[in-house]
Amino acid sequence: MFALDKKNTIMFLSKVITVEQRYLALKDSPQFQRRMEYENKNQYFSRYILTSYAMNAMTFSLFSVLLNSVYFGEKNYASIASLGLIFYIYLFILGIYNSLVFLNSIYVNNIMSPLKSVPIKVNVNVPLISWFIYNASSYIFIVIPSIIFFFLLKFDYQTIFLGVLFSFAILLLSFIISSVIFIYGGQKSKKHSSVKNVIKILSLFIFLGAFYSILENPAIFSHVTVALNSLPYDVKYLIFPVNLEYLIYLNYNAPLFLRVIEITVSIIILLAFLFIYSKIRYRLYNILMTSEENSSSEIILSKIKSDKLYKGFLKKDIKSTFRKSQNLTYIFLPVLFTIPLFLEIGTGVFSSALVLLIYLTIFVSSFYSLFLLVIEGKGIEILNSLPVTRNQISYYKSIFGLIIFSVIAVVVIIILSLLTRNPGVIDIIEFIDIILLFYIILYTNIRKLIKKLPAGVSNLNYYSFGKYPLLPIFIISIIVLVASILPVLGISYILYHNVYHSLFSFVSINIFINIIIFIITVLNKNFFEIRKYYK
Amino acid sequence: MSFIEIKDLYKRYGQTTALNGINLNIESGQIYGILGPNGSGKTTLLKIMAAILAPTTGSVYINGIKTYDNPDKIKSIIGYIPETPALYESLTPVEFFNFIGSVFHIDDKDLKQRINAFTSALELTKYLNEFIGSLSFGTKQKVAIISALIHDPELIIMDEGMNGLDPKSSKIIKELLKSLTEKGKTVIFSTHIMEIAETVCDNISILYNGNIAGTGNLEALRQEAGSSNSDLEDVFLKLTGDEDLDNLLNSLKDTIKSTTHE
Repeated sequence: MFALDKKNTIMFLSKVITVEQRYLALKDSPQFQRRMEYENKNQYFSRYILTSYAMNAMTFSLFSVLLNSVYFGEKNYASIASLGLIFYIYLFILGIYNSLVFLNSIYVNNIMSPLKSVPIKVNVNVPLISWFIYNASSYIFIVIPSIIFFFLLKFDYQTIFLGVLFSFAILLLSFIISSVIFIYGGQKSKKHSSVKNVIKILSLFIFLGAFYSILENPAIFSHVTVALNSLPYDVKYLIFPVNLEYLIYLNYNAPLFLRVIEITVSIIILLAFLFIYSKIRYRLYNILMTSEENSSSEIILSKIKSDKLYKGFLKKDIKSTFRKSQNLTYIFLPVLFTIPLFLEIGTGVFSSALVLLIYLTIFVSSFYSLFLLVIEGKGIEILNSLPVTRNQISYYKSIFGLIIFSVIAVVVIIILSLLTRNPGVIDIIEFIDIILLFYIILYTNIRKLIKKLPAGVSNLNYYSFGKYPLLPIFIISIIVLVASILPVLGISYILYHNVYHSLFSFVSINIFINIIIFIITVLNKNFFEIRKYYK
Repeated sequence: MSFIEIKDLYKRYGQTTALNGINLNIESGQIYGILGPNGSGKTTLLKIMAAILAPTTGSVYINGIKTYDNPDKIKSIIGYIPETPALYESLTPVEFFNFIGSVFHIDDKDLKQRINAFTSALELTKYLNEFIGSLSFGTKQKVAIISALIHDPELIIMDEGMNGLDPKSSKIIKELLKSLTEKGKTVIFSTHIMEIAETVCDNISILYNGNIAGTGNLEALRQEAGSSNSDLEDVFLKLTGDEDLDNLLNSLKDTIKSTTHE
């Protein structure tokens, strides 16, 4: 082993890291233990790593070919380009998630630190190389088919060159991001973390969303192309990752000098990523080589901090939601349900983006009122024994829901504005309007639900609130919606002799109505009582 | 006026009567044991005392405050440790203690000192950064006990609180409870393990089928049971009407003998 040259040493250690990781994952399974009785360990792991790599590559290729072939058959190169962009974004998210898991696994299991005592020089790039060869490179197969299909339609060699270049660049960038999170986010001996879970769930939803969208409306990707086309030239070509659709695919008609610039810029981007990586790799390497079993008690005790009550509740809810994939799914699921409606924008009942926004608000607020309580689970027994009232629980839960929805609403409003019109002041007014409506529905429903719970309840799940918990919730949501919209139509008719005069007038009047409902339903005696506990 | 006064306390779940007219006075500064077999109503009684459950009729006063009418006031002076540690599994013990600190508005310095002292004594420090969900039952129980003590409560209610603890931790908790009572705190302690009750409790009430079958210190209970040299187990069996255990065991042995084929 020690006679290996530098290149072989790097390759050998890269494989050792992967084998060790797989071994730790498998060692306790009875199936693995039985096989080890009659199989050579080295051969087994080499085969195991190769098989899982091949399975990954095949699954990604198959999925990508299936989706691309529809557009290839139609010679719809624009949709192949848009689908390609989606796959590049997926590759990016998957890269971040996988590299974060990889780095944490090396650190937590002390995989590299024993190499310190071995008379062998461990190259600083071994973690990246190991991750790339045995994990990440298999993900590139998700983008390869779109590059090949596009090339077969336009015979543009730049697509192949930049397609491959950006596959590497994106994986490198995702590794850099994970390394930064790993280095500065604190390496903890935890089995799971919020960041990893968020990335995992988002990747899954992007994947499902793309699949869902194609089934629902195969023309969706031309919408994306149209929307991106309307962006200013500089944004299209420079802002990552939007620019990938142009740089890799849609520039086949561009003049030569522009192509030279694009290729140069792309190479500069890759070099920049390499430069950033070179700046952080020693730090990363040192941490991985000196993994510690446990943090010292002084460091742990320094984390002890008694927050204000609302902060304490928020921190608890954020941590217990984002660290549990199941709870995270609850949070993102209602948004997933509304994806098909985005595809219908501009047609039939969803001709107006506002209608879709209201639909999203009703849907999410109704589901959240239930989910925000369900995620408490067995924790409700703790809350029951603490000096915290049910009104306080409703209030803090609704604040948490409001924060999450605000983020979702901002993203949705930006997407809708890009799809339907130019962004403007109306978007800010619309945002305030739906946030108000959301909070009224959420708070009202949470309070109704929490009142249904028997005293001394020790666990909360979906059925803790009755056989059909969503039915009364939706009824209340619809009542609030009618109370919010009907007066607007009336006032609009009085003012303009038309129930719907303009988006601006509708939203402006609706805000005032929602403020009145907010004061009546939320800012009542109980609300002020809760504020006393703010301290 | 006693620190805890329980008057004509009834609790019914549908047709089932869990507590059948309990009357009890408990003075402060002692460890008070509630003993009883499974299903005797111990947990229900403790939950009513902790203002978690409402009584069907009757009342509980703690330090002159009627519990279920003033749940917030009561809960702020109580540390409640449930039968099975109900904790947030996705949080680490430090994060959970921080949350408890927020609820009781404990200042950072006190919180740090108390957590440091408790976790060192119970050898929990090395688990402080792990997720609660990954801890063993006994370690979770230690987290639950510390979380109930960090706000320095006047009354500590432990429902089978020694469950799952290793002998060393169990000993430390017993000593800790004794030292708390010396400072005037009161501990209500439910168990069905006689040895623990005998060594820890100053006074005991035996609960059976929702009724108080006997109350007082061990000597008083012996007298009540009419067996001056018996240990708590025998006293317990006599007071709960299970003294014919020998007959029951003999009958069981006969049944096994007659139904076992050689």
